[in-house]
Amino acid sequence: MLSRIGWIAFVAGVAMIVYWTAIAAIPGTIMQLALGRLEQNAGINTMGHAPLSTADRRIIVRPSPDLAYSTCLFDLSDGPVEISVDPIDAPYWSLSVYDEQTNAVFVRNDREAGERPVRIVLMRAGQTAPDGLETVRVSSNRGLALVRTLVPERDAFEAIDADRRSARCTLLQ
Amino acid sequence: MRLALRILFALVLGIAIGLGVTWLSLRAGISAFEERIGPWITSQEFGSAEASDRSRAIVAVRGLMALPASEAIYFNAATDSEGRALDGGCRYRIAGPPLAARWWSVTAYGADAHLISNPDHAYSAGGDGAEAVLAQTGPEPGLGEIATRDGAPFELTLRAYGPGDGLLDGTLPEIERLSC
Repeated sequence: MLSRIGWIAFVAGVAMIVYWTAIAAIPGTIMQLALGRLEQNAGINTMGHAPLSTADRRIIVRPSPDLAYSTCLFDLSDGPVEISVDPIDAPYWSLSVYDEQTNAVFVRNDREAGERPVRIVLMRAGQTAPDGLETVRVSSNRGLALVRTLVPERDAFEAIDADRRSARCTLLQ
Repeated sequence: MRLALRILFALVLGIAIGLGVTWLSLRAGISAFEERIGPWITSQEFGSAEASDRSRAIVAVRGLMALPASEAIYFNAATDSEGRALDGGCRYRIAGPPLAARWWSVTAYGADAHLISNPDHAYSAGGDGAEAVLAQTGPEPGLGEIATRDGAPFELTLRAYGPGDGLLDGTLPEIERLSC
């Protein structure tokens, strides 16, 4: 039979295992839930262009109603994925890439792009990309590329929406 | 049989304590990440990769898909400048000098983190960083004002895109209750 101290140690051990398991699982679990919802916006390795967020329609948590979100839920299992964004005629736009642990592994905005297209290749360690392309190493197969485009007034959405649709997400074969 | 029940009880107790400590740890960690400037609360850890699992979990809970602080800084407020909870039945003015940023916007959210439903999609106000911050909220918003819901609490998020070095040292907008 366990002594009282033994039972306390047993409970403490279980509590520690639960704590560390929960802490380790939270980022990936939250991201998986988010990616599942984003898959409704576009399929895997495809750029989808969501309409402006409303009270009834959102694709990310706590969306900005001033931003038009374009999303690519990428999967690098079958090879690197290329993301390209041509300059968008809007006061601000940016491309950010999140890994499966919710970390932002790449961010570039319109000023940094300097009126040039942003063209990057997302890849895992051990994968290769054509020479001359900017590469971004991602630590997980799945993740999210997100283009945020500022829509200063809702009336401006139609023109900005047409312009942002040049953004692409493509599996490199 | 008695031993099995004791083991089961110990397991359940251990799981409950573990989950409770997880919740307390994340809550304490969130507070540690946050900075308060008047009614506004911000964090510069959103969207960043941290070394420890605990830091990752905190960032995931609070800042999923958020831009890192070099790209945008987010300020949240659940009270006015006098510390009173924001009430959707009241009218508020959010006013302050220009921010050290390319663009700012103020958005109202319900307690469920959703935009507040209204027929005119009056969710936010924004402007160039060179412009003074000025927005008004109310349950019956006028032109250009942000809609809230009478009888429901709400929160405000101030976003500053392209933040400059002096943003956190500068003056943030006051949130003034005009009437209820």
